[in-house]
Amino acid sequence: MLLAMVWLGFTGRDVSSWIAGAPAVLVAAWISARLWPGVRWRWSPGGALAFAAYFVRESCRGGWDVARRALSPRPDLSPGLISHPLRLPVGPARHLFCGTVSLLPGTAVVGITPDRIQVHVLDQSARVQADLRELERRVAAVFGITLPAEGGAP
Amino acid sequence: MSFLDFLSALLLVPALFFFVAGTVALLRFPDLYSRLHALTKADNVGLGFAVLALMLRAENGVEVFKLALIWGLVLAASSTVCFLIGQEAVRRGLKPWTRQSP
Repeated sequence: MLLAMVWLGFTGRDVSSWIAGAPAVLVAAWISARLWPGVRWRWSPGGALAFAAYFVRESCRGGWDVARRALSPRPDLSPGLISHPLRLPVGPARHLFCGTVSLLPGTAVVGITPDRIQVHVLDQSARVQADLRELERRVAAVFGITLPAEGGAP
Repeated sequence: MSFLDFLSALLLVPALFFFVAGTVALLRFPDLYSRLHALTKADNVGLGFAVLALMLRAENGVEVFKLALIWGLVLAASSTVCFLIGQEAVRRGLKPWTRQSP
């Protein structure tokens, strides 16, 4: 249903495009049903709106951060790899988290294991850890999830 | 030139700035990992401004929807590709550049 809307959005009301579109939508729907059987989506519109606003703001900060580092006479970088424990449950919440980490300031996901993600950071500072926890909290709000306490078992 | 055209042109200025900055970052950053940052962040914001600018020139709501969709899909693709390239680099044992090394 959602995928059909995506195709409709791209091609407009041109009927002939459905010769390619209908099979593509069906195949994509079949694949996603196979990959995530019975995943129930529970989300709060308020949390999603707040997340969208936060995402736009952080994206701008991320873009500006890269621009500033790139255009400064001597690139100001102290990169490194950090490992961040995942507290979100497996499913759409974790997908949203892993998908957005790479778009936020100074972080890029380079590895995912069942309970941790490896993140490459442009600047090794405490700020990044705090940012990741903040993102985690906001993703949890979108899906109405209560996060386990820091350091606790997931 | 109408007000909307002016606003649209104004939005293209930051779009251009972020694309240029992203490209400069791609050329100047020291290793694969930090270049991934340049591509995912600066270009996404640049595209965001370009999409906003084009939305103001759209003929109807369907076009606005289409542009929003393109932006969303590009974000998803860029984030996924960033992860896949990063993961492969880690798997091959590529060491990230650090300040201490020459």
